[in-house]
Amino acid sequence: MSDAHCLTGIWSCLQTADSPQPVRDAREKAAAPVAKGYRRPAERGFRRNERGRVTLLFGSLSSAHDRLVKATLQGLGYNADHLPTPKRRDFQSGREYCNPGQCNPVYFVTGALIRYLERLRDEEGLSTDRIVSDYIFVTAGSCGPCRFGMYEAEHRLALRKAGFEGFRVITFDKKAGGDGHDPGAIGDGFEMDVRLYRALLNALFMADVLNAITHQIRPYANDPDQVDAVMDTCIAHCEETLRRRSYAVSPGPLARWLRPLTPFRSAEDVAQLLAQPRERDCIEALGRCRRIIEERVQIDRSMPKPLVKITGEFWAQTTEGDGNFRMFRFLESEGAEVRVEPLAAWIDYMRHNLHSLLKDRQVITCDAARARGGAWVFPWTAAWSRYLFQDGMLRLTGVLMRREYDRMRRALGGTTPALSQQGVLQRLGHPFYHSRITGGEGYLEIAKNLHAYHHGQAHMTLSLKPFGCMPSTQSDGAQAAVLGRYPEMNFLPIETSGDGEVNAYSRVQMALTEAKEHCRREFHQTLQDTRWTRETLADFVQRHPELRQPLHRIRGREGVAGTAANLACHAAELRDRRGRGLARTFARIRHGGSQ
Amino acid sequence: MNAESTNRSTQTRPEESVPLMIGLDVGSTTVKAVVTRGDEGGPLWQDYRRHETRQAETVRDFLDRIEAAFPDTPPEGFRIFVTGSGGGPLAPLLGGRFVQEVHAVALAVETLHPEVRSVVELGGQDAKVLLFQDLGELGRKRTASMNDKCAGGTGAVIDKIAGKLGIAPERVGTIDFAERTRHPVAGKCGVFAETDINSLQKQGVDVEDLMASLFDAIVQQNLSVLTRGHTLRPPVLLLGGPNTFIRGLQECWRENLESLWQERGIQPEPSADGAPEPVRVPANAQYFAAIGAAEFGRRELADTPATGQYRGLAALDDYLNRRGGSGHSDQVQPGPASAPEALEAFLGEYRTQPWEPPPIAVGDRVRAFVGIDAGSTSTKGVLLSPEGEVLAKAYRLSQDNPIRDAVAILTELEQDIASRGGRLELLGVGTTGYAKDMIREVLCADTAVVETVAHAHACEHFYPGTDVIVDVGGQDIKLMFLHGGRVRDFRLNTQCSAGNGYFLQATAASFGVDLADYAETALGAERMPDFNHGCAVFLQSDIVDFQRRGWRHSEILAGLAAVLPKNIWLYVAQIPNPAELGSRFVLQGGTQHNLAAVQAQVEYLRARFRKAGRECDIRVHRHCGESGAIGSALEALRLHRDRGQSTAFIGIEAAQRIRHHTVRGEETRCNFCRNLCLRTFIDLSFDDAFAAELSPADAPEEPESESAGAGEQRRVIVANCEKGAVEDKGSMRQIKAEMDETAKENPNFVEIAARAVFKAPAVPHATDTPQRRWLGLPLGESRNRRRVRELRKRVRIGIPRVLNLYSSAPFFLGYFQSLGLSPRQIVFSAVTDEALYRRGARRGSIDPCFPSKLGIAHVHDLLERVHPKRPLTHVFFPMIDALPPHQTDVQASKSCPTVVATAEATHAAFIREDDLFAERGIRFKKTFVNLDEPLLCARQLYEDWGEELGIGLRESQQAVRDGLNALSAFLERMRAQQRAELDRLERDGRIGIVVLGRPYHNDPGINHGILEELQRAGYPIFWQDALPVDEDLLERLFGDEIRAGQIDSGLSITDVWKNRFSEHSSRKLWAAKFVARHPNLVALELSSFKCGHDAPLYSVVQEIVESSGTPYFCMKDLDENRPTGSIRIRTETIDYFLKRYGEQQVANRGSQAADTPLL
Repeated sequence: MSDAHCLTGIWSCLQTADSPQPVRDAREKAAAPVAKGYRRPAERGFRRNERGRVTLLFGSLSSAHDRLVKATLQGLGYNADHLPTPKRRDFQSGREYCNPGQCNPVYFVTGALIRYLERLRDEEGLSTDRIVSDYIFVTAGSCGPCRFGMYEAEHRLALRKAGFEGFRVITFDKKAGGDGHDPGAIGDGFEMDVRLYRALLNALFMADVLNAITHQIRPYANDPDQVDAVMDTCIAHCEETLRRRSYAVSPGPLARWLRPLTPFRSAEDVAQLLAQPRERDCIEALGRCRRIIEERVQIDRSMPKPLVKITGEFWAQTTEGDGNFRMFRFLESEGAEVRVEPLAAWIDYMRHNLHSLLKDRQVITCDAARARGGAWVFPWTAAWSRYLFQDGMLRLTGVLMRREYDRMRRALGGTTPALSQQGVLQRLGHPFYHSRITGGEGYLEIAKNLHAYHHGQAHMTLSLKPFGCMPSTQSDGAQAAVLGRYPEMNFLPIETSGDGEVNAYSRVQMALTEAKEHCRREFHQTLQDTRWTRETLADFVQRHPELRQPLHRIRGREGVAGTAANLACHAAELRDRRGRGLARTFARIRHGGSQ
Repeated sequence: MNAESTNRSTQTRPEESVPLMIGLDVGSTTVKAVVTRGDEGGPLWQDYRRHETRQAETVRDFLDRIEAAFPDTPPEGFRIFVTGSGGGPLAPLLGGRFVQEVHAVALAVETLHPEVRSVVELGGQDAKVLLFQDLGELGRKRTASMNDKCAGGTGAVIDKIAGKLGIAPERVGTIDFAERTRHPVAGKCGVFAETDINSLQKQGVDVEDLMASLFDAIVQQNLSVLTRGHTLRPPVLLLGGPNTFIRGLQECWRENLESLWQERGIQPEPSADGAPEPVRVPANAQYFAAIGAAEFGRRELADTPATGQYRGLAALDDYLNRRGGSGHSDQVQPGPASAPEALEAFLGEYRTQPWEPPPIAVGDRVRAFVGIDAGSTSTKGVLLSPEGEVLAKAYRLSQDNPIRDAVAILTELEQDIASRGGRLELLGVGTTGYAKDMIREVLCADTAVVETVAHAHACEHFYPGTDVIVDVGGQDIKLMFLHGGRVRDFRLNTQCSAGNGYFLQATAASFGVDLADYAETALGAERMPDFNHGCAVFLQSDIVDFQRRGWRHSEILAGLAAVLPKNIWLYVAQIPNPAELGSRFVLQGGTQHNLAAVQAQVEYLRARFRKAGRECDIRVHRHCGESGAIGSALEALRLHRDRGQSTAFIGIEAAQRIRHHTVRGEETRCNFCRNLCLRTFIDLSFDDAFAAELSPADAPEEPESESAGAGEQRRVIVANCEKGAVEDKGSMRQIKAEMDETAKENPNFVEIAARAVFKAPAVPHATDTPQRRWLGLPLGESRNRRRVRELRKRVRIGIPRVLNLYSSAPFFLGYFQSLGLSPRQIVFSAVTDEALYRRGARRGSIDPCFPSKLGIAHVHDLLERVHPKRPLTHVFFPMIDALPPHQTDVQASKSCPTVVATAEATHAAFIREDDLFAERGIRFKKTFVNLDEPLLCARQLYEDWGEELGIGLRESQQAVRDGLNALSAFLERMRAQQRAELDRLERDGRIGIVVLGRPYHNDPGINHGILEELQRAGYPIFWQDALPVDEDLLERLFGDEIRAGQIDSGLSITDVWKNRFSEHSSRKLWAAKFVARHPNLVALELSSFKCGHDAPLYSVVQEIVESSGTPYFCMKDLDENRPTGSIRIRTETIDYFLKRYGEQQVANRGSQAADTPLL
């Protein structure tokens, strides 16, 4: 549902200055009284003086993401609440009020929003006027090409039909809401500055690593319910930290000196950026989570379980409810381990796409300079220089982003996968799906599948996509060539919707059967290669309690996907190392060299 | 597993020490079970039975019989392994293990037929394809594919349609395929197939031909979607109930597979077992999943001996006793019986007494008008007195021929009057319904009224002052909004008949519940499952799911009735708040006889009105089933009364003596245009005795038939257009001349643009640069230049005629011509037609919108038709990321992402197995271009084509300029033509229709000739992308708003839409604004099924147009099939609507227009 331009807000925040006058005029015209025929509803901004009264609603990512984003916004001084994980009833409600033919995330999210508001009205007794006045829905924005960017209007339409005429919907996109078209739609209540982006990215990354660890340990836990309880505690700790955390910084000389070299408006923005690498609060919170997990959870990794990598459309692969048929839980109940993509990878993908946009701009300006003839060298050189500087800055943001993600990952034990290099993914995906085709996940779905295949990272790739997702469907079409080239690949695309889960489960079971076979073969082969039997391996694990620790680092071997198989390799290394150590000791003793 | 092995195994005596393996397959329609011995060998016991939706009960019965069949084996001596879509919840109750069904089938195939490379298993709701591929060192790879939630193309569709056609299940199995005439039927969706078959049946097509056509459609659907682009390589095994029991289906598979192999150069080889047959149906084909489950158990037993231990029937019995719905708590809702008092009050209000006809005195001459409604599932007739009173009614479920049905209805009506002592004298005859035209032709009826109009007349006659008519028939849902007794707007379901009357009827029948008992059964439910509204096929899938979860029949029927109003209001009408439409509702149509459906609708409407704090008045039409017939009789009455028209009806006696012979086949194919449509010839004759009684003067006039004297044969031709309605060329030419005259008077600019856009533009050649000179003397051409020129001469580029090329082809033609390529070197694929699509569709692996799916079909056409004639060097499928913007103040002018990426999916389809381009020496080019940025575009084309065509960057930039100029020139020409026509409309005070659509809707294969029909009805058709943008016109339409500061220019859409990044969305929105402000234009929105970018605009486009009182019509969900019946109802209704609109409104169109009734 999303597209690569969702992150343009971040970049435009780095680039832009005040709103251009013509665009501001356009906004004012849009809000002018109706003179003739249909006119789109006028938008009311969110004003600074409303902050104490107005609650920002948002949703719906995974539970961990929602909770930590809510805590972050509260920490920044906003009233905020997230929508509950959308359910089937929400989907039905969304379909009732939205246009037909939308992709499912819109139905689920819009329905969840409307039902949330209806509960406020019907159960808490708030008047419709009060709800319209005191609540705002914040959603991601975009400016193409996926229709996701148009859904702002769809939310408004549905809210109007549901009786909440005038309810404010704000796009969380600097370009859409502030500096691009229709400036002022957001109002000054929302401060779209580096502090906000920084705080939100921290929250999202924390939720990513917490989710990753949950999916990694729950299938092997002696008591999966205990894992849920422990992770709930961990998230609560992180919430507390984010709620109390202050992002206030005072710009020092370095920030003031650097500011003119950057596209930032204020030295404080630069100072925020400089402060992030020294960020400690989030790291410490994750460290506390690590200790809690280590204390309370015990796992047994020696049971071979197929590793299923989840890809697909952004929302369908993130939500944890009926929007994807509760697929992660289903897979675990069927005996699989699930690897869910972090949101950070998606953010990095959008950042990476900006390289292409910069390159386009450079081509146009340089070619235009040459086409003009005459003294073309100076403008041509200037365009190239500008491009190199901006591209370098963009690369730097990528490095910083990955560094921050890695720090958080390591704080939680470092057992979850690192972010993939977007350049590598682009090179993998491009031959099958042009990397300049934006919308949805672009080339990412194919690239992730290939990456997992080439590096033996999963026994199966499950691509989750909502019914009606345009780019994702085409990506599956292009995937045919990938499967033609690598016929042994186990890839399954599933369209998720509000109904028909039985057939979807059946298709997943079908592919999972293959994955289980693959996993079993791999495990048996590994046991054979490492000279274990299931019993001796179990016995070794029993005698080495650290191997039952959920955050004990077991290095993944190239080409070996299964956790149990990797455990066998790891245990064999321990055994052999210890064996070699003992042999050396005995040798030294024999030679009288022992100290 | 074959029959011999079964017999051999049956004779084997089971050994006590080896457990017996029960393989149980609980499917969506049947239960299959086998019992084998754990060590080896074939089935000792097997059975197959339809479970009639009683899965758990049937399983219990099977297990009972298995226990009885092995009296010496205690329960612990069995192991049970369960598979099938209904097996999941039952397995744990029995102590069994669940085996995924595809895995089970694969195990059985690998065990019993290891040589097989492809398997197609058709079940009741599921369809599966399994491919086995030898990967050498990597082993044997299984690739499996299953239908997703849509059950189109499965056994359920065959069952349902056979039931509708009245063909007994045994007869379905014996229908042959090879000798049958096939007609176009949509296999993609059961509902669409039903619609097509319904329409063909009404044209008199033989039912066995229809079933053969359905088989063909199902096989095509499975080949084009379920195989996901793979080739089913021989030997192929056909499994599952339909494949096993239906001979015609087997023949159809054979025919299609053999043609596919021939096309792809695959030579079936005799298999290792010597079986020569490349497509096989094993004797026990229906048992494979069950056998595979047992085989799975046998293998598992080696590792875990305790697995699948059968626990007996106690837990299953307990489940059967206590079940009553499960699933998520949010899928349960209270049923009608949960509020007994409200139900009682409802029944008191809505339960009606049977209708009593008015008395007739013996010997009375009963003067009456007859109305015949030849509906989709039934034929209804009424007799109406000259005062408009209903005198008699007749009803008959549609049989195989609408003429016979109509005659039977007339006979019944006459007998009814006669039985009451009267003598019938008919003053006029009106017809309506699907077969209205055919019946009018045959019986010489006085009028044929489109259904919507007939229903409106019937309602207004009995319930004046009604605001909304909700008509739910067997196939159609119609909503009519009235004002002052006349229709001011209407909604119809498109081709999809989700949740209609026939669906309720068929579901009840599948549960063994008589339709008459539906209401009583459903209204007794205290709780019910909550269905999602929408597609009937998805509902069907949900039914299976709910059954699996243990819901009772009564509860499911109640749930289905409850979803009906949602389908009416949310799916068809898209009006979540019906309270906006008025407060007086009349429910009519045959489905309203079902009180459960009425109760659900009344509850739904009342809830909406309660929410709005208002009351509503909902009534069920006293003659709800016959309202269409009443409406047509009323029209006949009106003609008689107002115009003094005397009836031309041939008389009931003559009608009864008509003998007719219907032919529809190759011999009836129309050759008058390239569409080559099949027609239906109905040869009519009277029996000899009656013929002698008739004098030539009595013979009715037949304007469109071969006239003959009484007693001689005459022929009625049912055709898709006027040209096909005659046989001889002379008549056709006359008709053609008339049609041409109409077309000239009413130009169809969509069609004109579709042709003109692919014509070579006039472009200066960039390669024809001034000759190099030195000291004023000409120099010869450089060697490099000569090389490039030669290089370019050898190029021949094939471009698929699809998607955005319908608007941007001039750019690419201009670009290549500018480089020196002659127009002959650039060829396009053929114009889309059904045959072209079908030939190419089998390579598709995904199911996007139809326009995107056409990409594969058109590239296939280039490879298989164009290339062999004269070789292509390139196939060029540009990925146009952004287009030159037409509107001002837009954020971007992006193409639809589906359209952009179609080239990638198309390319993949041709290289997934073998690289067909490489094999033919063709290069596939899919240049990614931004037409909105000429310099970037020049660079993109230069980088992709530069080396092959020897293009320099400067040259590419010049060629891009030439291409963009060619594009502009094309648009300017079209704009000028449209402006001239618009001026003419204004002068003449006539109406024109602007098509709001995407460029590919200009493709006649996508718009299905809808626009031609409207053109023939007398309306010029305008293309939105080339609406005139002359200053004076924009000033007239938008000047006030510009001066008021609401928009900056006449080309701006900032006032109606915020997120303006999709170019074709922007164009559509602007065109909607244009139409809304122009007094001589109305809007027709076209949209394809699954169009992601249109969906968010639906409401806005409609609101923009309607807010000014301008009529807005839409045809959404256009897909690969052409729903002729639905299109005709719509175009006729639109025509009727616009005729009144034109008469009443054009002169004084103003603020009151929105409220003025039109019918």
